Amino acid sequence: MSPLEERVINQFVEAATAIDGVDTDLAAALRAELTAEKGPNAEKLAALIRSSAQGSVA
Amino acid sequence: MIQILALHIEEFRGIRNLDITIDGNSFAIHGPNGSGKSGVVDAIGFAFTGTIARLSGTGTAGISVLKHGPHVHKRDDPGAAKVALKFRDTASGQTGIITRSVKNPASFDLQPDTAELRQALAIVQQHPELTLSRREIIKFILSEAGKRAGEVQALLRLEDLDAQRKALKSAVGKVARDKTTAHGSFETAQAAASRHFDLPRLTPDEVLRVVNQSRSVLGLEQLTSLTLSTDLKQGLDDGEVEVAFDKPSALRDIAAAQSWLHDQSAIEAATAALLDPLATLKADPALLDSLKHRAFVETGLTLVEADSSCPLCDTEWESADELRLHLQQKVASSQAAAQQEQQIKTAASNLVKLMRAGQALIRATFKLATAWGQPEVQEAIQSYDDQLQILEGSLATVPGALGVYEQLDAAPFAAPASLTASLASLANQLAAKPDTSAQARARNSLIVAAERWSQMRLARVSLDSATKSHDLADKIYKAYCQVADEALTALYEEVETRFSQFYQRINADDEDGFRAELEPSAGKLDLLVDFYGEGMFPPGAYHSEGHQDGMGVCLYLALVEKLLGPAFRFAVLDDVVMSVDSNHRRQFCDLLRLEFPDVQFIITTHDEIWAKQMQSSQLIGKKSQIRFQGWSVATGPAAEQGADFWDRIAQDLAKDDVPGAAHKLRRGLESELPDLAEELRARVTYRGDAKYELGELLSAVSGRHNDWLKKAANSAASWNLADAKQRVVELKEARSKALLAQNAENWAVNALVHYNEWATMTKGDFGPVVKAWQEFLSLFRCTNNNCRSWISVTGFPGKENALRCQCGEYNLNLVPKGG
Repeated sequence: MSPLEERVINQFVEAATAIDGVDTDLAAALRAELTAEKGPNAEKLAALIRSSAQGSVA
Repeated sequence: MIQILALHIEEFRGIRNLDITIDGNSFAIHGPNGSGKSGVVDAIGFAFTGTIARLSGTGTAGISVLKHGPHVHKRDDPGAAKVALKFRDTASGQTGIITRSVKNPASFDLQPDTAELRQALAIVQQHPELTLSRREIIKFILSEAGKRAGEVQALLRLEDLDAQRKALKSAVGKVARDKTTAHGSFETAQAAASRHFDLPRLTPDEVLRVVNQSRSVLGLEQLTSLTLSTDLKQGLDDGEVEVAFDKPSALRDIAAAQSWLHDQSAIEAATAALLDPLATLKADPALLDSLKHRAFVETGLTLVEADSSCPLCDTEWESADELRLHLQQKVASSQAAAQQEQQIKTAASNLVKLMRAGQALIRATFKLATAWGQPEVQEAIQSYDDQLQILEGSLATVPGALGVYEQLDAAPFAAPASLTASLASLANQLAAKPDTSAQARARNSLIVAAERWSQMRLARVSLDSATKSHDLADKIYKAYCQVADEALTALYEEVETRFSQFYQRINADDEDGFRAELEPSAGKLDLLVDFYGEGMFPPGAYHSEGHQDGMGVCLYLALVEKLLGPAFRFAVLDDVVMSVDSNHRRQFCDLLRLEFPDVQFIITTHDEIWAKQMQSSQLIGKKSQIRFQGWSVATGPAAEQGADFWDRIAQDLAKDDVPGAAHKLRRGLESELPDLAEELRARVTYRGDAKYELGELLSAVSGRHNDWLKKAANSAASWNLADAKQRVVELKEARSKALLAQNAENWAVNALVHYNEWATMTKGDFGPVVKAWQEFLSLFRCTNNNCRSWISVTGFPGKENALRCQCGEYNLNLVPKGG
């Protein structure tokens, strides 16, 4: 990962945790998936978001 | 990063045996087309990576390094083909030699084998962009915004940002589809409730009115408020009821299903909208093929593992990243197929939405048939429902939709006669059921109402959840785009500033106000450039192809500078300088020399004038060039390093080849004097074809030189500077001596210049002629061996201020005191 990419992902995590509905666990999980060795998987990202949103609806 | 010190090439491509000494300096490889220059570029690339760029990519099927890397006479002996490259690691200062054979291109020998040298080689291997060919320039300039972003981001190693953004966008799409599905389910539940209440709109007052009517009949407490959580049958004991039957509600359910089956205009229109792009796809095998490959490669992309072998064909790649990039490029190249795919998916999605609405109506009747209908009625309804279900499954993918094309074309939603008859029979059967007591009707109505109200509530919860997921995904995606765009904007602002500076430097004569804008937005990168102060336009709008090429080189340099920073110490420009128009060669050389003083440029060109310009502008030294003079299969290129035409003349004279020497002298003068005339602003009669006689150039150069020396003498006298006066005196003396010698050989000069009578001269005749010319031309060169540039006049015409060389050692003030 280039320094710029590192900076972007760090700033993204910071910006994401400011969103209502994104807690630190979700932000960390998003970061892990976005920076996964094999590349980010859209289905897994969607599942993380669904799970978080459903938790807040319940 | 590395810099190249020397290169040994053996039986490789078109080269039999060649040694080049480069010494870490910028270096020019010049010679006519087909003389073997590119073989050197191939050898450098091969030494570093084990691959030959031009033997891979489009149009190279059946060509491989192993089979076609060796010289054609050694094609069965790949072990004979090898390249040894001596290099210096600029970080550690260590030097090493990497040797690689075509027989085993994946491995190399490194002497000495140190961690520092291996690290330096690894860095070069990670940066294939350090070799820029002419055909690659334009991809930065004329690409579409989305493609340019990909090219630039790949060069800047920002692919991960693009992959992350795309994954998040795809995630948004997935949860958006959840929301669409949930919305459809809610509408279905709402429609079922509306039918039961027989209300066109489910307002709380109306629903309460209908519900309370039943409750009143049953003596239950009136409901005063209504939410989706309200239990409409609260207080009712329904323990003994197995299946509630509300005759009017059941008949409305059947009527709704019959109506849907009868009026199929909406679903027929949606089917036609899907059949249209499917027909286009069926009729275009190439497009269909592209789409199949796209799906295939997309699948492969998800399966790439860290071990770098292709999951689709088992081919070994240098790295998993390189393989991913290759597959991503393949996916990106099938744009037309992607558009068609999107159109089909959208049309299929619309059709599925209508199918589900119909399915919900059919299934409502199935419940009634199960409770009170005949087996054949249940069977007819179930069969139709199954048919819709299978069709919906096929519409989930484009190949699936294509597979049911004929079925879709044959009106698959038209109600079979058996279904029409079954529904009519079921309606008649239910209508014939005897009316029950008012209490029983109220009781059944209330039970069905509560059930459908509950289904609405569940559907609403799903919709709320899906909406929340979608909103959240959208916010997350936008947050990512904002962060990435801000970072990229800052990066591109730096790049566009440098890009503009570089381009201004090359085109200072007419575009010194040039500026460029690089604007990233959600995976795209727009490029706008100034056109002579008339506004900002895409580069291809008004600029000539030459200017666009110049922009490409400048943008490339700005990007690589940004990518590597101080580590940018080496680049190969393969025939790239030909993209710069002839009026701006000097400026381009100055750009490379002044903006990148620590970078070693290996430059190939087939233009001899370019090579001379590189030398006179001090981008390269006299020894830092190799001239290829022809090529044959048997011998490879005839190459000569570091020799100028004086050396070559001396070689001819040593062999008593006066005609050869005289020919070279004339050709040499023909190429040198126009440059000199330009540097000294000599005055010649203008010729439209620019074919000036040597004699008139010689006279103009000599006369103008005299003018400048006179001006310098006047200036020195006016300032009363003893050193300056003495310097001019010495230069005048040298001039007189050189002219005297030249005059002494004037007969031969005239013969050479005017009559080309070299054939009649002897070595004894011609030696002094050569010496006279050398002395004459040396008047105009800086004597500093590190400079050796032509002297040139600076300042605006009419306001000339100095006669000087590049390094400043030769520097005469032309401005008199008070002038």
